[in-house]
Amino acid sequence: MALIEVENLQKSFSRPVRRAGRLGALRGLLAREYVTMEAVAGVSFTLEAGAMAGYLGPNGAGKSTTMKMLTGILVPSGGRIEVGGLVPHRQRVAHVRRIGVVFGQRTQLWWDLPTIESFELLRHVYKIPMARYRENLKAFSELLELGPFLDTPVRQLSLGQRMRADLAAALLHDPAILFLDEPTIGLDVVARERIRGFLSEINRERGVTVILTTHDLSDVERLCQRVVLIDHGRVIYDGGLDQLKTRHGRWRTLVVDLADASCAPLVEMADLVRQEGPRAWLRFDRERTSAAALIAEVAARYPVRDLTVEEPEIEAIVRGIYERGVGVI
Amino acid sequence: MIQLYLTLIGARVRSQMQYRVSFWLELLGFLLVTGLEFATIAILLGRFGSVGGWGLAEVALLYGLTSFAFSLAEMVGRGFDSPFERMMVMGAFDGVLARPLGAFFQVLTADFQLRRLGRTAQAALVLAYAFSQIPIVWTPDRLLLLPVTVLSGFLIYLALIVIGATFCFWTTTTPEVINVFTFGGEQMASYPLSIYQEWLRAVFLFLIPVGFSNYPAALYLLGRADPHGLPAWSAWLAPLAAAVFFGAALRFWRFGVSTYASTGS
Ligand SMILES: Nc1ncnc2c1ncn2[C@@H]1O[C@H](COP(=O)(O)OP(=O)(O)OP(=O)(O)O)[C@@H](O)[C@H]1O
Ligand SMILES: [Mg+2]
Repeated sequence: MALIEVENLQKSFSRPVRRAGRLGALRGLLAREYVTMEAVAGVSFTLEAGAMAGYLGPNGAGKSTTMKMLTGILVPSGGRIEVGGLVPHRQRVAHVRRIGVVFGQRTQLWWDLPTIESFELLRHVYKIPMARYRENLKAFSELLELGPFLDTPVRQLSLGQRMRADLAAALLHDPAILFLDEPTIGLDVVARERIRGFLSEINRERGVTVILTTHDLSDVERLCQRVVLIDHGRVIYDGGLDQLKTRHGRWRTLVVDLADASCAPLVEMADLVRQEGPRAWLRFDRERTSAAALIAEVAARYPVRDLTVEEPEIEAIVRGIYERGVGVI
Repeated sequence: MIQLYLTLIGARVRSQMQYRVSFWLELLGFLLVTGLEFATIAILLGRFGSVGGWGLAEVALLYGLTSFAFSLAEMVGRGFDSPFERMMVMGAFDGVLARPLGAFFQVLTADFQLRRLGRTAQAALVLAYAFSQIPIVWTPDRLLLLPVTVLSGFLIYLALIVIGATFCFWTTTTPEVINVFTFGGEQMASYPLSIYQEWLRAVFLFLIPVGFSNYPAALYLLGRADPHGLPAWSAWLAPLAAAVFFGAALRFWRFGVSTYASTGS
């Protein structure tokens, strides 16, 4: 049996409809009308222990909603979830004891207490043995460089510091699974990299199963062998990242900064999709054209100041799949 | 659990005590403001002499009992007020459900307003005044009834706060209407229950049992009979009423939690 089993999972929200006009508001108070929206509309997947998976999709796809059901925060409207043999929302306390949760958008720590005191309180909440707590705290302090701000109240931490503190807090009790909803949101490149390094380390060294959502493809690329892609609350791809990219992500963009803003770089192997002053975007099919050949061609024909190859955004891949369907390549 | 409660509350109180001066000022503030509440009653009674046959000292007994209970509920239960409301608005209740403790317990420990002891002190002073004026024969059962009543009242008020907070699951903010029950209940219990109409008496004894926070106990202590035939032993029903009401509030709370929809993102 897999560690996480999700079958035909559903969640719908009902929202009161606002009606226009003063009378509308009054009528709305008396007899509310509701619209139902299916945030998660029949998601199924399984995840083995020790895996590291990306749960991806565009805004509003239902990622956070799924994560909240997996962590026992929301009660599903339908379907089945089992995590390590437990049904999250029914056996919530037993379930959350074995998992760690980080929501990038907000902290789980005590807002007005120093970081270290939040950790201390968590030690009590999770009844972590003192020796183990010390050991973990020491390890995480080193890996995440928490030392400088352990005594700072959480509300005064920078986003990057807070995220690191939240990560450490989610792992102090040695959870088997870590659920991360956008753990790198709003962070700079250095901070992202540090968090990625940390995640891959705890997955490798401690065997923590990790499931994460992100809008940053490089997170996925660095961390996840496995991706589950959803859109409009449905799974549209489930499998290896490599297959996904080779099958659906063959378009790359070469961004060219020209020395001379007046010319348009036109080459046969790529399409000029956009140009703004001296900067031009050239889209190419990497199965037909190598980036090296394209760069050589452009550099030979135009006065180039700088070049970068943009990886396809996960959003673009998702959009592509959604528009063309999974089967079509 | 109690150990953990004290640990979590301890952290709260410590962070509140960082501002020692403002803590004491606020405590004093509560004492004075709630003192005015009793002063209003005293002035009213000064004009009319008595209400429903109850003189100032006897009304002080009623007021003191219910105010004492109310102050404890406010001190302990404030987590269900603005901290909980904030959790709902900002989606932080997610974090509560992601921890291996009951949601009720965690919201309860989200705040602890030690400064509400200002009202407790005021209630104690009012009670001291009442006892100094009324010749109560202190038998053991009467002595026992005192803490039993206060604790029952505390639970009843706490239950009211919880019920009010539970509406947050559907409206996101505590509707003002619940204040009608907490503050309103406390205000109306400041006068003898016998002066109200029958349906109101029934409501405040059997539906929202704030009446049990003082009235039957006061009758018992004074050795007085209720004009509407409420038996003397009903004073001992207070813990039962409180337990049933608190149990109902807890169930309502659990139902609310099960419908929790979180926020987007
Ligand atoms: N508490 C809620 N009440 C009503 N609708 C909600 C609620 N939470 C989410 N939704 C709706 O459900 C849908 C899915 O939301 P969800 O937050 O799961 O998306 P997401 O994939 O996490 O998006 P993002 O990438 O923007 O974080 C959205 O249309 C959202 O508006
Ligand atoms: Mg989200």
